[in-house]
Amino acid sequence: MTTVIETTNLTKTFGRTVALDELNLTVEAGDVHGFLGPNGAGKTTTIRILLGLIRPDSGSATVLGGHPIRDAVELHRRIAYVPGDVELWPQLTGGEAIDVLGRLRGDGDRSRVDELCERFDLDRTKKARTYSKGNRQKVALIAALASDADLFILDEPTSGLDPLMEAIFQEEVRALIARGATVLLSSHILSQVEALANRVSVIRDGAIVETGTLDEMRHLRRTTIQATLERPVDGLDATPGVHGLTLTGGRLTMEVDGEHIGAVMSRLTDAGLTSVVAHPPTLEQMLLRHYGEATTR
Amino acid sequence: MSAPLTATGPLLRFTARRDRIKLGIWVGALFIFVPYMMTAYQTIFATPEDLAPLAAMLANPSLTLFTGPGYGLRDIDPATLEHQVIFASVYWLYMLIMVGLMNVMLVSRHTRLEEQTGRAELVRAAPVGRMAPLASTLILALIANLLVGGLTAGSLIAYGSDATSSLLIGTATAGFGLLFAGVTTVTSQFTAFSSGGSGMAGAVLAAAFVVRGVGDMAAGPDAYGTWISWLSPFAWAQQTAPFVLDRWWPAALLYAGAAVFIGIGVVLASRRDLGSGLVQPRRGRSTAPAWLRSPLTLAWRIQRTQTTWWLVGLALAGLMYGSFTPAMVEGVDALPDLFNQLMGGVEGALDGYLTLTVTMMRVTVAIYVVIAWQRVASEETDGRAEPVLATDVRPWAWLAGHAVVIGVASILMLLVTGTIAGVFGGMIDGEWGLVPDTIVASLAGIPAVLVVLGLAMALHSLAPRLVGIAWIPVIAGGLIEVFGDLMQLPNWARQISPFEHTPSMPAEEFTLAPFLVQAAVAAALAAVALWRIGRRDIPGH
Repeated sequence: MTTVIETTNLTKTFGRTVALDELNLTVEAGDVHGFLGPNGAGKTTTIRILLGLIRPDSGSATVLGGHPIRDAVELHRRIAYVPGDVELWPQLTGGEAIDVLGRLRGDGDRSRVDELCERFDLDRTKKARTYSKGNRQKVALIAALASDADLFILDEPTSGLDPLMEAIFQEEVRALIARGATVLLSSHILSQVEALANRVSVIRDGAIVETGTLDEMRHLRRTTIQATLERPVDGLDATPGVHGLTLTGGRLTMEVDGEHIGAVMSRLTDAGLTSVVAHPPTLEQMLLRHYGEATTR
Repeated sequence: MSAPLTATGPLLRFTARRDRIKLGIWVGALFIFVPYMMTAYQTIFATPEDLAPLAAMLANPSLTLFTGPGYGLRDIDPATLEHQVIFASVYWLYMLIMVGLMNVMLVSRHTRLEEQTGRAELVRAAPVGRMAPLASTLILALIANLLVGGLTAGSLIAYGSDATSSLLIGTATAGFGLLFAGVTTVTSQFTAFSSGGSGMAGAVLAAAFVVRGVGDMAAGPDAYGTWISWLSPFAWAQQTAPFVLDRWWPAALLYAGAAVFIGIGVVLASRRDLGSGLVQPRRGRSTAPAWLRSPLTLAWRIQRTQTTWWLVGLALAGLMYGSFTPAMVEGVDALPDLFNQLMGGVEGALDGYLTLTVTMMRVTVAIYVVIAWQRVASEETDGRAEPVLATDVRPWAWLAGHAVVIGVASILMLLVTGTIAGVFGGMIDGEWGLVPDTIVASLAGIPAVLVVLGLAMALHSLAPRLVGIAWIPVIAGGLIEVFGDLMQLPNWARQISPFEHTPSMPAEEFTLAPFLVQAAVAAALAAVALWRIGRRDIPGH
């Protein structure tokens, strides 16, 4: 497997603000790589370095085997980018903006643009100044998806889209992977990353705190169990592996570490279990643990 | 290494297409300048003999601030004096100012504003060279400047001017524009905001105007500028002395200067990140001060920086005008009749000059009012008004907050400039009675300025994008006040100027009626605006 993106100890400061602190990120070819983190964690700064728009203070980045700044023009022929906050030229129509961006890339495919505008339900004849945030985002998405790029860098690409459009977006990303492209998908929308990504890197305070496949991360995580019992259970909150036990209206809610689930479940069964709901660990909980720790530091 | 200029061509076509209307208006307006002036002059001053007294007056050293070093105005032969000489020695200066502004705005708009909005990021993420956006902008500026220069030279030739001198004017005009394209390239590197870069470049333009003026005034009646003049690019254009010496080498300085500034700009641009400035933005306070709790105080917080700089700038301009008072009074004593004509038949040079100063300040304060109100309009069009109006702030209160801030600030500006002008006037003969007179004269301009404010408000209450229409009476009024007498405009045409209705004090006596009428008009416009704003939609962002 070839490496598409590799950064080594990437560091970037803006004045006194440390945006990236020795960030190491590796993205393999053919992956949808989820790039997860809260606002201000350094996702966009990393992406802007990968695109050669800003230069790191120290550390290095390699994209598609090239140098982000030295080889910018050649690399950008193979990269499609959707920024998180899309601004367009107010006096141009959406259709004109898509064409301009396509022509600058030099690979505008008319029928593909038509198809994407149809799928994303974009009225191309409106001036960009009348577009909502979601419609501006659609313009940048369509311009990117219509390209034959090898690497797609998508910075929170659907933050303004509704769930229906989100579903179409997911189909389109799967189609990209099917034809062999690589996607770096930055997001704080966890369900989106869960639905699409096969590998995830979690960024916090400018550094990668966790990276791996979703399965690799899951086994470390807790399962949420909600249960209704016939009889009360004494000392359940003191049981190893049980966290955050609450009782509301006869309904227990708790988080249980993976390796203790068997023991906890048998105690619940002994107390006359009448209903149980178990959620798999979501990335939300994973992130909450990271950021929860960060905020209580 | 990727070619830093990749895709400059497509970007140039794209930029030119987006800018075709705005830049078309600029080039068109500058193109009309020469035919308009030549036609007007050939009508008013039909023969060289008619023109000679005007040239004699304009040659006065005290007027050089508003004209130029004086080539072609002294030792003239009344039999051969031509209208284009007056253009080159007087009106060209104003054309150069406009060409400079065109370039400041053009470069700022297509480089820093694109970065500030994030549109440059979309473009630069495409296979586009690092320097291509800047290069395409500068090529567009070059094209616009060559067009303006070529059309200027062409229309001068069409009016029968000497071809070499006309080409020299065209060449220097284009070079002056390019120089300010270069200056703006440099100033746009410092802050992340387009207003910072264009503001700094505008300040350079204003400083260049003052330095050239001071340098030329210091030269006296026997010399054409001093070394101080040569510090300013205005001198590099005007010292070509078209129709007199036809020197080409000062114009070469303009092109060399343009090359140097563009070079510095490119080096600075290549050393910074996209979207950032060389200067990191300062951090501010983490909580709002206690006073920031109403539409009025929010309006003040939004307008504070701009308004403070305007007040400082106007005070400096007042000091500059004031310091010229003795020179003006002495210089004009020799030519009382002609000067009286320029001042609208005023007795006495001192009163005349103070009146001119007060009028200029009224116009400048009105310009502030329109610029400040365009900021209010952008509050709404950029969506910043929406969250404010979503609280229990009524639209009329939001509008009134800004109106009070801008209105009070403009009155303060009139007070400050009137005081400065009066103090300098009083120093001449120790006539300190002039100080209160001049202050009253300046304050008599309040209704005129408030009419402009009311008009901007009323336009805003129809639609925020209409506020720009308020420029029309201000610019027309300014031109009428400065050139109206020379152009011998009919009385009805002069009524367009909001500054024409209140008496030109202290030369004229104060009369209450027009003062009250204009104040009533301003109040009516404001009332309509306050009534209307709550009855229209607030457009979404």
